[in-house]
Amino acid sequence: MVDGALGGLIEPAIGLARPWALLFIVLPLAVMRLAPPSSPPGALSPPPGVVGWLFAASGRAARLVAGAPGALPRLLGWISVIVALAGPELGGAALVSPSGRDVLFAIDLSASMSEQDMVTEGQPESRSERMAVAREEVGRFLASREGDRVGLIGFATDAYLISPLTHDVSAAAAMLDELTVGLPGRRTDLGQAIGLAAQILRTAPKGERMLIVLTDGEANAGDLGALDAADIAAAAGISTHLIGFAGEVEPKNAAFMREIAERANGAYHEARDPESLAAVAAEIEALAPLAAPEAEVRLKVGWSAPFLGFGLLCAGVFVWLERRDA
Amino acid sequence: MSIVAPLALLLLIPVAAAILLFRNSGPLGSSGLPGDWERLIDAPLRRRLALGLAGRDRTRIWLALAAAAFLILALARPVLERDGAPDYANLAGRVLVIEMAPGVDPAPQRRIAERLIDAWPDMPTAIVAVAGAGFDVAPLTTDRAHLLRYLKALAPHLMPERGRRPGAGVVHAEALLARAGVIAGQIVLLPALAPAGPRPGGGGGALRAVIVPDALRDDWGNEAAAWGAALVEEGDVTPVLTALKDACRDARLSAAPGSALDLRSWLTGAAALCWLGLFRRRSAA
Repeated sequence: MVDGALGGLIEPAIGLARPWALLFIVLPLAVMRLAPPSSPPGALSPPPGVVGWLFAASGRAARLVAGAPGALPRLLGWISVIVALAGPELGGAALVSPSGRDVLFAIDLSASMSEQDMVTEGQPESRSERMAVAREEVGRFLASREGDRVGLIGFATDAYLISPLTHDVSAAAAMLDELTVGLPGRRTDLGQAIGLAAQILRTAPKGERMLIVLTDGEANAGDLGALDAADIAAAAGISTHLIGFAGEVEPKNAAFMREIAERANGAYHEARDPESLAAVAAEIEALAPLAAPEAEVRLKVGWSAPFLGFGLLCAGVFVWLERRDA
Repeated sequence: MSIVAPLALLLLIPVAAAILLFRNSGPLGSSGLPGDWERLIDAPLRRRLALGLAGRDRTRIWLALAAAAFLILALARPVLERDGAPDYANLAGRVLVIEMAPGVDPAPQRRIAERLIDAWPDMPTAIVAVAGAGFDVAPLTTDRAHLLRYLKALAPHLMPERGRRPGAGVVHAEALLARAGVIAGQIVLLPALAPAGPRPGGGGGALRAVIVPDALRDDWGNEAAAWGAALVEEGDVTPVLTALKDACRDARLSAAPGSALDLRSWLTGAAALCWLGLFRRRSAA
C-alpha cells in the first residue's frame, strides 16, 4: 500500500528517511541483558523441585516457564516497526520548482513567414521555410523552459492567444504544430501582439515577465502603434525582446524593432538562418537562466505503511499467544 | 490537523474490545497450572504460585495493545499542516474530459465544467474534448478566461473524429497528465449520454471521477466503478474537489515533508518504545 494516490509516478529508487533508526534494531538485546527482570507483584517462587515436576507433567507448563510462544511475532514485529521508523521511501519523479517567470512567445504568422529563404549551414542549395525553422527552434526553446510558465501568441493582422500561460511547457511547444501561416491575416500588426501580451501578463501573478516576439517584417497594420504598445508593456514590467527573423532583415525594420525593444526593457536580436536563431534562443536563455539541475527536487513516496501493518499483525498474534497460554 | 487515512482508525475498535475483554476477565494464572491443584491450594495462593512460576502478568499484553494502538494511529497518519509550504509547478492538475456526442447539446457539461473551474480557480486545469477520439482543447492552466472561452466554443460538429468513445478521452487525459509530470492528477469525465465504447485501462495513477446528471446515474453506476472512477451527481461536485484536495495534501507531504508536521514517525517511535518492553525478561523460576 503506497501512501496516497501516487502509485503511478514511482520509479525504482529506494531510500530511508531516517537510516539511523535502524541502529535501534539491537536495542532488545540491551533490554534483555541490562533491564531487571519483571517480577509480578505478589508472586510466589515455587521450590526448584516443584518447577521440575511441573515441567515434566505438562508441556503447557513448559511453555509457561520458557515464555517462548510469542517470541517469533515479537521479533518480527520489532523489526517491522523499526523499519517503519526508518522511513522507507520510494521515489524518483522530478518535481518542478516554479521559477516565478512568465514567458510569452509571439510568432508572426503573416504570409511572408512561408518564404523559403532559410539556409542551413553547409547546405546552401537547400532552403527551408521560415515558419518551419521557427517552429523547430521556438519549440525547442519552449520545451526547455521547465519551471517557467510559458504561453504562445500567434499574430498577423490579428493576434490570438494560442496557448495560455502554462507550466506544461511540452504542451505549449506542441501547439506550435497547430499554427498556420496566414490564418490570422496576411499583414503584421506588431502593436496588437505586444498589446495582447501586455494584457495577459499584466494580470499574471507578480514575477519576472518576458515577451519574445519573432517577426520577419515591418509593422504594417493595426491601430495600436507598436511603440505605444511597447510603452504599455514597459509600464507593466514586461521585458520585450524582438527577433528579426528573415534571410535579409531590412535595416529600416531592424532599427524600428530595436527601438521597440529598447523602450520595453528588452533587446533586439537578428537571426538570418537556423543556426543564428538557435544562438539568439541561447542568448535569451542566458538572460533568464533556469534553476541548476542539482537543485532538482525529487518526489519521495513513503512506504512505511506496509511495515506498520505487518507490525500490527504481529502485535495481534503476540497478544493472542500470550492470552492463550495465560 | 488532518488525518491522511482516517479509515485506519476503525482498527482501534478491536484493540479497544481486547482491552475491555482482558480488563474484565479473571486474573491470569489462576487456572494456569497443570494438575488438580484446586483441591490442595486455595485460589489466591494458586494464582501467586502461577505468577511466580511463569513470571507472567498482563503487563506484556497491555504493552502489546498499546503498541498496536500507536501503530494504528501511525497508519492513520495525522499531520499538522504549516503555512508557507513550498509549491511545485507539477504538484497537481486536473483534466476535464468533455464528451462531444454527435447531435447532443453540450450545454449541461459546459455548466458543470464552469462550476468546477470556478470552485477552484487556482488549480491548473486542462480541457480535453472527446468524441471518436480525445483532443487537447486547453493545456493545464489557471487562465480562467481562456478556459471559459474555449468551453464556450466547444461543439460536437467541431470534433475532427466523430463517434462515441468517452474512454478514449480518459486515456488521452491520462497521457496529458503524464506528459506534464503531474503528481496529484485528477480526470473528470463529463459524459453526454450513457456509457459507450471500450473501457479505459487503469494504472495511470490519477484520480478519476464521472459527473453525471440524475437521468444517467443508473447507466453509469456500474460502469464508473469498472473504470475505477467515483460517480458523482452533478448537483454536488464537492466529492470531486475533496478527493483532489486530499491528493494534493498527500502529494505535498511526499514532495515537501517540511510542509507539515507528520506525526507518523513520532507515533511509530511510541509504538517502538512499548514494543521494547516486550523484550524484558521475566523473573521465571
